[in-house]
Amino acid sequence: MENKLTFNIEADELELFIDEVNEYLQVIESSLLQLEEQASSPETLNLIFRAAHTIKALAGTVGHQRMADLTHAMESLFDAMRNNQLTPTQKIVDELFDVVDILKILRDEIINQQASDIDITAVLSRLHTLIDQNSHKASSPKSEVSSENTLTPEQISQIKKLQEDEQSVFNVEISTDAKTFAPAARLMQAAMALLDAGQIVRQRPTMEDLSAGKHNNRLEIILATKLEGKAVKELLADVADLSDFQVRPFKVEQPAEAPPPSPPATAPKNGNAPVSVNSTSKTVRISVERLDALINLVGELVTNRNRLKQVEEILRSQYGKDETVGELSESSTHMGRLIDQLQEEVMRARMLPISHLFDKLPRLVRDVARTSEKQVDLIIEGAATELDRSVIEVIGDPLIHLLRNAVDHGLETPEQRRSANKSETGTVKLTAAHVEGRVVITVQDDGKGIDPDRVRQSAVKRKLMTPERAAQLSDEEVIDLIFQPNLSTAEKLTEVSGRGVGMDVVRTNVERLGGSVFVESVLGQGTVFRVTLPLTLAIIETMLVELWNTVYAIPITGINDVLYLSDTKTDTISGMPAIRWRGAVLPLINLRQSFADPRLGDMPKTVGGKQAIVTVTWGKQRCGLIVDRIIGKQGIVVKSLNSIAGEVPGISGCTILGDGRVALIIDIPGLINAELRLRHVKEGLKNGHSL
Amino acid sequence: MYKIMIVDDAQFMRVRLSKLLTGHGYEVVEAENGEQAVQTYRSIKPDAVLMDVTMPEKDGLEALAEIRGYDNQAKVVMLTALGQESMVLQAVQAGAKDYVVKPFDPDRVLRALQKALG
Ligand SMILES: [Mg+2]
Repeated sequence: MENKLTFNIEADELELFIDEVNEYLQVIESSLLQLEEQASSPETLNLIFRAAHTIKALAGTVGHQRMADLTHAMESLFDAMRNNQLTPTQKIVDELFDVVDILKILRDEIINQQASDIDITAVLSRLHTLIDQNSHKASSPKSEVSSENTLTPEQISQIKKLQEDEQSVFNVEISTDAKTFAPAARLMQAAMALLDAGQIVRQRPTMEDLSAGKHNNRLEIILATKLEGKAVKELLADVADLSDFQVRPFKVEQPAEAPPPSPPATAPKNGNAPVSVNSTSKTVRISVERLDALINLVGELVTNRNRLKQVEEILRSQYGKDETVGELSESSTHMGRLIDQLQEEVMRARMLPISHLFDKLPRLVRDVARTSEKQVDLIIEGAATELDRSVIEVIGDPLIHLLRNAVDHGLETPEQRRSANKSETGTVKLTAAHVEGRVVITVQDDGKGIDPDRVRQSAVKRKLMTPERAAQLSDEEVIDLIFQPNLSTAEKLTEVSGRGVGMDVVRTNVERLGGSVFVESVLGQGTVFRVTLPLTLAIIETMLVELWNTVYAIPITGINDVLYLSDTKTDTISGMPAIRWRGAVLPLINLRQSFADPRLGDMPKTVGGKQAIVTVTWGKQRCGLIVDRIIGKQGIVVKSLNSIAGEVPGISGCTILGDGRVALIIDIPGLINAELRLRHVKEGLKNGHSL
Repeated sequence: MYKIMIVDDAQFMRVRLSKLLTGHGYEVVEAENGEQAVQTYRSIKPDAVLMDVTMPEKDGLEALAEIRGYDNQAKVVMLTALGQESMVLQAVQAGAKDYVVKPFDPDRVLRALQKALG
């Protein structure tokens, strides 16, 4: 492919590289927001300068020149800002936000090893114009170097004395290329090297002049040293970037009065560097793969411990109260506790503060607010709440959608708010907290709220239900309909919310993770979405059931009850097999049929054990799953969450059991979707209402 | 075996440099800011230091000064970048043995170290 790009980076370095670039991009973004709100401090400017500077170095190191150029320009702007040479106007901040977006595209070029179609010339030249206009570079007064070539009488007598002391005196002439990086520093380096080698009688330009950048890329030194000329040359050969140097024995040419002797090299002025109390965090980055490998190992331990428990039970049934069996049992219990702790610790290592996600959101809210012409204060609470990275990775999109929605549809325009006696600036509050072993995230706005009557009309208009049915539903039930597919109450699809996922996808995705999302709204006052999520997706509590001698694991979070088939009466309601349970009609799904494998066609139809119904909930949808046998509750380690998911409808992953068998994990939303939606279509929605 | 301390706030840079140096038979210790660098220098006393300039907590210039104040024989090579000409100058004046510009050429880093180690 012709737009393929190669970078100087190994595959195993990529994750660290991208993580680090993202981290600094995030710093730039949040600092820009502070600049915009004029809430920046000198620390902010230092931080943002450093972030741009570091991205520049990172990009340069992997050979992404355009990215390095762009961040270099950015760095110069931030430098001008911190030196008060440039005020971050709205226009500049906007431009810089755009640059961040471009940097993200350039970053992705490294990930994809593929050129994007982005052209940075225009933006780069705009940045350079800004820099040129605003940063008043000290023009280097190069011509002020003294060209006086005479020695003072003092210098001459000094040289004589040194020569008598068996020191050689050399006239050293050094030059650098003007195009080299920091030529003054190279000349200084040469001077320092010579200073180490002996005594400098005269230096032109002086150390002070060099520091002030006063040099013509040349340095002349009279050096007295015990070294031979060859050794002096070797010292200078060690200094990089010198274009030429000459070391010649010094000859006194003409004594005359001359400029005063050079002052000695100025002492470095670092006397009162602030001593900050060390607060370095002792952290190490661990790659996700390594953590996953740990999780898997712990998973194997859990599996083996379950196996051990089984063996122990067998032994106990054979030998009863044998002392050795007792010891085994005690030790196995103890080991179990240790494994639980280990598992918890490893899980904790996978935990990240949700700020990893939340930090990206102020920028998003800002952009949406601008496009939709709203004024928003975003309040974030609980950003330190930790949850498993697997959850953080997948919850981003639903959350972004809720937030977009809150700004775009939830909040009114400043004019509307004013006429409703509200402050012109709306508030969107985002919170996260641990509640009873789960994470609860809320997105709350103080906007116009959801009008239940409008939802009713909309649902009827879109033939989701009859007008009678719509009238029967409570306001609360009606508002929940916004999670139905094809029901958008937005009067027009705006640029902001008209794309991407809908509320139905938000609910589907959240529930796929074993979570739930609900909405509460008060007309005229605002809306709050409450998303509840498990802390982790890596280990889940399940009910193990058997079908065709295959074990399936049903996530506990979706289960309501377990009943025996023989204790209930199966009806056919609306053409589907169903039972009445606790005053509700539960459609039944026979998992034998759902997971019927043609290859298993000859398997015996009768099984030992008692057929049972596991009642499960997905959102407001409840149904019963018919299984051959209930095995029991067990915590399992989810394996290859992604390799299986999606391939088999209704299955989200697998796990290895204590006896080495594989158990398939049932994806309740996926299963219900596949089974019941299909039936709905077949039934043609006879009664015109959803279950 | 020479022990080299790599000081840079960007982990990717530390990993890169660390790979380079260990690949050439050096032993490596890392510090991620100037403050850590000073502490580590005191406790480990490396043979030479590769020191980034722009860092949080304490920048490379401050760390250089403190390290040179503690050990006036300290061999410090600065890792610098475009735009830091004046800081490099200060560093050299404060006793940095050499400097290498990022994005660095691996050979230059190695040569600078060899020269600094003498
Ligand atoms: Mg740095």
